[in-house]
Amino acid sequence: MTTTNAPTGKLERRDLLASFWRYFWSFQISWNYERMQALGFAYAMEPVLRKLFPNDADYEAALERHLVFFNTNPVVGAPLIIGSAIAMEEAGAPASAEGVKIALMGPLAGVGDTIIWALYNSIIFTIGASLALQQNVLGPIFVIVFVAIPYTVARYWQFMWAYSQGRSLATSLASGALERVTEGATILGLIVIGGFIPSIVHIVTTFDYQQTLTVTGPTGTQQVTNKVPVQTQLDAILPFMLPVLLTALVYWLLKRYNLNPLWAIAVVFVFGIIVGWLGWFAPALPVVAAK
Amino acid sequence: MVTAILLTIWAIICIFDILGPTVIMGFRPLIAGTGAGLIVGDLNLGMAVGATLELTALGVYTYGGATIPDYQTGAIIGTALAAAGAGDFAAKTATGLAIGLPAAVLLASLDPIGRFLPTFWIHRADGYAAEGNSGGLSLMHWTAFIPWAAVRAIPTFLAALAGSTATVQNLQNAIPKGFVDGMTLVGAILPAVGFAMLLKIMPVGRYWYMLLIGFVLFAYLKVPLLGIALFGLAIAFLFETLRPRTAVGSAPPPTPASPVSGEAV
Repeated sequence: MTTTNAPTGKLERRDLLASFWRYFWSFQISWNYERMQALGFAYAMEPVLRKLFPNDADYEAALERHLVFFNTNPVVGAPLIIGSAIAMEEAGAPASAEGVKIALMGPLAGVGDTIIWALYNSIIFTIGASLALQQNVLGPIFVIVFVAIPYTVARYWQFMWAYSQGRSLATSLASGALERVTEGATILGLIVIGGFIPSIVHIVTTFDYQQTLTVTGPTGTQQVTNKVPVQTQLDAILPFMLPVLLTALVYWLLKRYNLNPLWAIAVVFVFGIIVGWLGWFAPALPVVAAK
Repeated sequence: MVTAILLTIWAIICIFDILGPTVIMGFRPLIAGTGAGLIVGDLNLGMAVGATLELTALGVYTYGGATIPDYQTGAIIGTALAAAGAGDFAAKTATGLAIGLPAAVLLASLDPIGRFLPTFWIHRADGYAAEGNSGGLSLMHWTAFIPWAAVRAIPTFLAALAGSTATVQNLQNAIPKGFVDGMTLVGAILPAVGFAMLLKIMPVGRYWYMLLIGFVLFAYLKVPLLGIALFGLAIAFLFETLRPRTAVGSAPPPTPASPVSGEAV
């Protein structure tokens, strides 16, 4: 594809915006197993390519080279890569455009999935869901505001920044800044998840056992039989032991056997129904009146 | 009938949002359920069903195109059927969860169909690209959304249509108490899967002690989650500030053994 003629058109802001809005409104609607976001990518590039290549043969070749497999995070990653691919096509370096797509889609998918889905959304939605459970309509509104505005701003900024960086984008990203941001977000994410697990996963055991004590009091020696909840013993060893063990078990299944998440959900689902129905485990111990 | 049609349109908006504009996160159960609540005229019920499902789905996102439970349709159907049911608010919410959660898991089997069928569209698009037909390319892109929408719209429509008051009340009576207890426990432990999925994509082996920090802050020191997040932010900045720059990046630090490595990049 490097034999393509150099682009003859010149891009204006209008062309960039046409591409951005195509990406914004519909980037993943044609997602499929075979090439994932390929058609969305080509669709977003199309107005720019038409402008750059008035010659039909060059234009067709350009469309075809952007219909290859592509997949990354749609919010953090895709706009950056589209912006930079536009800059490289404009500079007459289609091979660089392909290179940047291949080089960045994997790492940016990792960054985007971690920062946007795992970290940011989990925090926003936990707050929103807590408010909604108190029948406060601000819960869903809070979530929408904290999704719509930051996402849109971040997407627009990435797109335009990557375009203006052009060829120096690779240098900017390779300077280690991207890795530092990712590492930092990962550290923050792990600390938050460490706190989320005991606060959101709820499971206690309802088992108890009989404990017979010989008590010597002023009225003489007598046998006292107490019901001791097993959960109290577990709490004494490690608070929130069962939620931690359960999460660790699921993590191990996912990691060790590469279990499909759907199966993991099904397993936990069936387990929960059975032990909950039998009454062995519950989300929380019933509140027992003191003494 | 009108309600069923409105719920179907809402289902299509929700899935369109996450594939395109991503301004409301409609495919998340909190949002899908709230919208369904507005449509059936019981906003609080929609929020309660959606929020309960949301907490079971935290961190459960599509990573690299993997199929996850269809919480969106689960929340919409659960809310719609619970609204037709009997009982007080708590009983209706329990019904919504008891219907919505299994529905989300079962309907996940349709998601791969919606992800597979657009493959035919992209082959047509190849042809249009070779001809330089931008109209054809755009048409393929937009119509490839049909399978995505259909696998969510059709079950939503059918369930909403079938969910008359009598049907739902019979269903409610048929649900044993043990099942409700089990479902409540399922709702409380499913977040474990979400967190495990998150951990799978993170370098736990290298930074396992960060998890420990968060755990200790919550379990022993009773710090609220926002406090944990702020503390985490500080640690992250500290960590990245103190890290020597040469340790970052895939390029090995220059060694005296290789004379050419001194060149600045």
